[in-house]
Amino acid sequence: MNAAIDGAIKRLNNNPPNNLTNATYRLNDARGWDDQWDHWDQLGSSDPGWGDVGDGPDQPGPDR
Amino acid sequence: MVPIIKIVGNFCNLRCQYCFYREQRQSSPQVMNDELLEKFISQYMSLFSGKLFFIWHGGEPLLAGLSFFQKIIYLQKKYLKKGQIVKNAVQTNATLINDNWAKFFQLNGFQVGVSLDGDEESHNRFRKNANRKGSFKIAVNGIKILRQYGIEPGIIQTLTRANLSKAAINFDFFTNDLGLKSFGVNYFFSPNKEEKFVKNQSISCKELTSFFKIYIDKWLNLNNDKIRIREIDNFIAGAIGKQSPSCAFNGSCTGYFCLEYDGKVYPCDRLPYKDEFLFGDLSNQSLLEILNSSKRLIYAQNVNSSHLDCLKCQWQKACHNGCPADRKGGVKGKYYFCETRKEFFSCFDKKILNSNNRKEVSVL
Repeated sequence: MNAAIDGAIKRLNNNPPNNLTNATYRLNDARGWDDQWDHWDQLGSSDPGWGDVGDGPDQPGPDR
Repeated sequence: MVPIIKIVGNFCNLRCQYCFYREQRQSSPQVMNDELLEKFISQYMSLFSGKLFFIWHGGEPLLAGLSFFQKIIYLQKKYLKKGQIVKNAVQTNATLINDNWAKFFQLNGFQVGVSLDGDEESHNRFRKNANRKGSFKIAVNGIKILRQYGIEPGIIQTLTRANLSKAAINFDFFTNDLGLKSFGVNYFFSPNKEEKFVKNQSISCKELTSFFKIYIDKWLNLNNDKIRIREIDNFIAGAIGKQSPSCAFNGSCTGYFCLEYDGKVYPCDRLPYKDEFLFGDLSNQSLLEILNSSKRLIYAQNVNSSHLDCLKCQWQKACHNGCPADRKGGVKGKYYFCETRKEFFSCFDKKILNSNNRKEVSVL
């Protein structure tokens, strides 16, 4: 089994569901960011606290 | 919701020819004023509980100065409520990174994203300063400094026709020479208008597919579970029916908003600054009012409504019609690189994941 694929699958299995998909809510219905946050956590240190050093932002950068 | 905060607007020390802010003023020194910064942080932290995530963007956000970033931390701590955890990320061209910046990012747990297009030739082709001098050496030096402080940046590569043919070379450069563990690829193309500053660099669907075939093959050959390429993880997520991690795949873009340095709020920095996308202005409205505006709700409905072609596509839930900024004819259009995605969702589904011996598999 290819380790690269296994690594990707492990990362994906550790991702919690993203409840923001197809969100059309008003803010007072929002479910917050907790789930998506966990995805960021697993890219870097998972220690709770005042931030932690990890991977760069997994979203489009400014220089596309 | 996650804010993308353009603290200096489009102000930048580089003049990358393909930058989509290129048509706007990039040389005007501008920075969000203290009053607006405090209004934003206090209201955002009051509206949301739990884990809060701030993405500091530009232009080049480090041009705001270290004292501005220290103010950010001061205000976040000032308005921190019980049970809240704050995380910050910054996307930079790394040319201004020095020991002071790196130490600050380390101390305050910033995630740092750096834009780097590949080896020196690839990077310097478009990423030049105002004197038309390439920024490769100084950017790589910035990455080295970050690493000295234990910060491993995530890299974003911008793909143009110029570095398309160097896919194999740049993959090796990233993984071997630079020793990267994580990077992503953005694509330069103009689906809806003629480019003024860069001619004939827009990549086609076919070219993108050829490019990723090389990246995927080399990635498989590395056989290393620690190397993460954003797009490949997303292709595999689609193939195995997992939710994709990136906003451009998982349809979560309405969970973001972009705050300009002057208070204007848009859906995302990637969309053109048209009035139809202007949700409001924090300088004279509350954040709650802006995020609950009818414009934002209409936008959310528009970007989330499925394109007709998507309704019959087996990969709809893996793709969500891509990034709204990359759709032909506007946010209700069809994703420009639809066929590329379909090919790789299928590729991982059939050729790799169902293979008995994945080590033997090649996509070429």
